[in-house]
Amino acid sequence: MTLRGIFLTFYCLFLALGTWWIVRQQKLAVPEFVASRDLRLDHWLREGDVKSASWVAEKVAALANGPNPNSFVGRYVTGDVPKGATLRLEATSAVPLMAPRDGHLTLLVTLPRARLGTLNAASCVQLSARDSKPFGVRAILCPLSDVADCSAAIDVPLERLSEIGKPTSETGKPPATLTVNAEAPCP
Amino acid sequence: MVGLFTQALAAFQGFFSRGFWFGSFLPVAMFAAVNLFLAWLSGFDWAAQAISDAKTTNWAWAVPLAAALIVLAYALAPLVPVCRAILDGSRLPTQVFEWLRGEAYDRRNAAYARLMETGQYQLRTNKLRALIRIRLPAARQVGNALGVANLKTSVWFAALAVRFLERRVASGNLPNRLTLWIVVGAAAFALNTNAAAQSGILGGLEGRILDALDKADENAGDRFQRLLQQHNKLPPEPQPTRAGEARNLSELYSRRVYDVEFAFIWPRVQMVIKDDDPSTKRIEAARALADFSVLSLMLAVATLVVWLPLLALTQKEPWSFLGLGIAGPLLVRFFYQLVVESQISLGEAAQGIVDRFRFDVLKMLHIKPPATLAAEREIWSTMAAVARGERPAGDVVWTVPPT
Repeated sequence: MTLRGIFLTFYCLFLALGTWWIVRQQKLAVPEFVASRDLRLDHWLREGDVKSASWVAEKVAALANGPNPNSFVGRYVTGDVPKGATLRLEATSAVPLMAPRDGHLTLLVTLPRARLGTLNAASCVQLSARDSKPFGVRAILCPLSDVADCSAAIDVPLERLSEIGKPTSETGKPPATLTVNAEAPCP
Repeated sequence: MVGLFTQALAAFQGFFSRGFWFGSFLPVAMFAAVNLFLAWLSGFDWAAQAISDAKTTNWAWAVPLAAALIVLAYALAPLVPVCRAILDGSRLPTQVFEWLRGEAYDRRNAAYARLMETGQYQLRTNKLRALIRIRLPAARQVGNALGVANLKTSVWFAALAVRFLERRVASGNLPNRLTLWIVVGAAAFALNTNAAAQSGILGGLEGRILDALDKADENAGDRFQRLLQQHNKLPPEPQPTRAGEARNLSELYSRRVYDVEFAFIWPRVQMVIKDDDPSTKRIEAARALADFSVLSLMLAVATLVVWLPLLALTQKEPWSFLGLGIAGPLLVRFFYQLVVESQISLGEAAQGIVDRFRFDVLKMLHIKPPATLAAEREIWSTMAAVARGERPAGDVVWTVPPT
């Protein structure tokens, strides 16, 4: 065997060893996940919101049967998380926090599945076409069943409370149930 | 803001030669950028900060950076001859030197064996020709005596084998011994077991095989010429490395023609060349290229040695490690090739310069110019022997006797 052959063999072994070492370190490490977009407090996590920190980590997690990005789906973010920041499963909550705010009420309104779209915490919605301004969404609550409607916790400032119970033009009576009419751009 | 960096370089420009800027500074600057990129890839904050500063207008570090790179290039420049000596094998440990030189001898011997084998190809086909001329007509007679086509499969196999042979030789190949024997054997068997008249395909089989052999002989002649040219290009005295062979070839010239060691005449020749002579620029350019390639190779190897373990320890994914691990040796190989080529180019320039300026050296040394090449060879060998501290066989005649 030539000296060049021996050197090449050792070099290839070194590359294989280095690659094995990197993958092994990933196996030993706690799986890491990162936010794939900016997530606001009480963001209801859906598929694609969280991804594995690395390709190796993803493959290792799949092999080790540990948590994966889908383990986050349906949980809530407990603080503002910028895109690319590390996210741990323990740092998410099964229910939204929705801390009380002075001068604001939180109302639960019906959110038909068909109108769910990309609605989430910090989005804005209109309850009826006559709303002067859209209302901010504090959290989305959806049952596990794919057919059942969801609820949206909307933030209502006390001075706008009177707008909620206004009689509709069609019936002349206040609406029996409050329903999200459409997503609207936030002011 | 790039102007700051250029100004800093301009301030130092007068202090160093063009050879320094191309041969020493450029590789250092190039690999500084590569190392910065690798540091950024490894997630070092300072590297990310430096790249972000470079993207914006914050070039306050340009002047100290330029100064640091110049100092580094200046400090590394003396290592270039050491590294070149390692590359050409003269500074390798004896065992490694002999191992590598042994491999070079093996390569040379293998090339010679291949050349000889190709040269004797015709002898091999001549034996086969004789066999075909005797064996196949005999087989044809036996087959014709049968009067029928007994084994049509053998006829098809023989036809296919001859076709294969024809195609091989038509595409410039040399069929090996096994192929030739299979073809002749298949043809003999087919003719032996079938009446040729009943199997039209067997007609003219001998002629086709002989034609193919003629073409194979032509191919062997072409290959022999090509191998001979390659063999003649191999160094007569194999060296442990190709860089060593390139250097040895260029240094052999002065020894063969003027009987003087290159190491003796070269420094003296450089002393007699005037600054404004075009040869000065040629030497400087060739040496700068040689220095550039050697220093680049040195830095490429250092980059690999430092960064591969570092990437293995810091990376979460193996891609950058594998990328550098695969691309790095290719880069090293590229710079090594550049070392060899630049050494050859420097050697060629040096040969011309020795031819042109050797009489100026004699003039500088106050030695009477020789009338013949033999006299000149004697002068040089005498001078070199004196320089080595040996007792010279002859003497030299001064033009102006020393007072």
